[in-house]
Amino acid sequence: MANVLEIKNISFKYNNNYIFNKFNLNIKKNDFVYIIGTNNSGKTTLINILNGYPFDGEIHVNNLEYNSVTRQKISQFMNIIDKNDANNCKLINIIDKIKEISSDKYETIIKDYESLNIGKDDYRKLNYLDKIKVILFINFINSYSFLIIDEVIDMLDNKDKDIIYRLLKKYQRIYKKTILVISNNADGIIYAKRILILNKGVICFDGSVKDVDKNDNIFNELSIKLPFVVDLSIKLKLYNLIDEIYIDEKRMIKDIWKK
Amino acid sequence: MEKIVLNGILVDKYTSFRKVLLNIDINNVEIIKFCKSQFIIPSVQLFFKINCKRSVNQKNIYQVLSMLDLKEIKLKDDPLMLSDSDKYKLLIALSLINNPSSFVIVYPELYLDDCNIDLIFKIFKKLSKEYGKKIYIITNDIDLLYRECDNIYIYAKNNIIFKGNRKKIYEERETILSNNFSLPKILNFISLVEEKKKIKLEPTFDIKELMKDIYRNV
Repeated sequence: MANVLEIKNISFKYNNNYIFNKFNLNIKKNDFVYIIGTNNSGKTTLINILNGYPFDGEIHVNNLEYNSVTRQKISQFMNIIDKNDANNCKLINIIDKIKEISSDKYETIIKDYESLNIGKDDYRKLNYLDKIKVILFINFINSYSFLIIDEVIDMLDNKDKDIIYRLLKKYQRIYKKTILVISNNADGIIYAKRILILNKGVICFDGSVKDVDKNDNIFNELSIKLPFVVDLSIKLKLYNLIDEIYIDEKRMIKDIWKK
Repeated sequence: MEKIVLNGILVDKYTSFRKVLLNIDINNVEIIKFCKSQFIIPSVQLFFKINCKRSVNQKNIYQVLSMLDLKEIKLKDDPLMLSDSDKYKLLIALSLINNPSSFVIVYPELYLDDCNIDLIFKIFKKLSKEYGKKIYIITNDIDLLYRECDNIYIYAKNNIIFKGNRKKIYEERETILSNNFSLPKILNFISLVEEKKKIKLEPTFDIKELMKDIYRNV
């Protein structure tokens, strides 16, 4: 599968301190990648670079070299969603907006939207967290093929996070999108195909949820708390009560008490 | 006039917090919140002001910075160049220096990673235990509250739907769930085991205790 994002040897420094020094990262098309970045790891800098901060090195998005000339074209298929989007957006009637984006699949999509339990049509009347949910949903169903979600989902409670991640996975599959979620915690790793840990400008873990138990020393060293179901899986594996890492609690319960 | 210090800045009113503040001594409360950029610069500037002009013990300031692992921050650097987490920790440092009787910490999980959350909770727990300070955490992260706090209030639709210590959460799970709110993940698991397998595991906040309980019940 071709890469949607190729970062080659980029360097960036603040006050003579390198945040990135010859940093490399490739993200394949249609992948769901989750980057956990501890504090001061460089995740905000990475987003700033993708938003236009000057850097040394090369970045290619969909085989287009990223620079001031191509940025406009790239922004037609790549979108970065951050915490400020909810306040900056001026959507008024959400339902009309959904119709406009996806009139052919309106009935199916509107059911998914209703699962978010937002209820009101006028965007201006919504509270901040409901606005965040609307912005995320609108982005899931629109035409961007590469979505970067910067710490936005972290703002929601467990129930909404779960709904949002499930919808994200569904629309990624249907519309063949590439998703990159950036977060300071590991809450959403169970939904991602590929997990990366960024620490001090370097990728120190690159794998899937199934690889976490073999590398749990990295998570421990960086004090990253694993999602409950993964953490419990690792501990129960030590007691020989299960023999794999689970991402679904119901399946885990079924298997524990089947033995 | 009610006096609230928000990110080190005195504000006349901050209505959205009124409902949440409950019985806090409103004349002596420090709110640590960092959502809007306009709060960042003044609070950091105020920090410089305290640091440079007022007769605050310099040693005290550096002790607070060191406690929060902010030693490496060069105070003369441009505050805008600091990372979000360092800015948030600087707000906490500023609050600690102001030494109020209560602290309200708003959404710490959005700006701090797990390691730094553990660090600040260690500091605030010590302040609560040894100096009788009241610490209020406002968050969407029910797991964080369940893990760290003695008393929990859950607000939904402008009402308190739960009020009590963390042991009571499991007993009142039906009310919490019926208000479209989620349980802490560990309790959700215990509840699922009871529902699916009719096995009653002991409600706990410690995953190791849960693991032992599962082992005993398999």
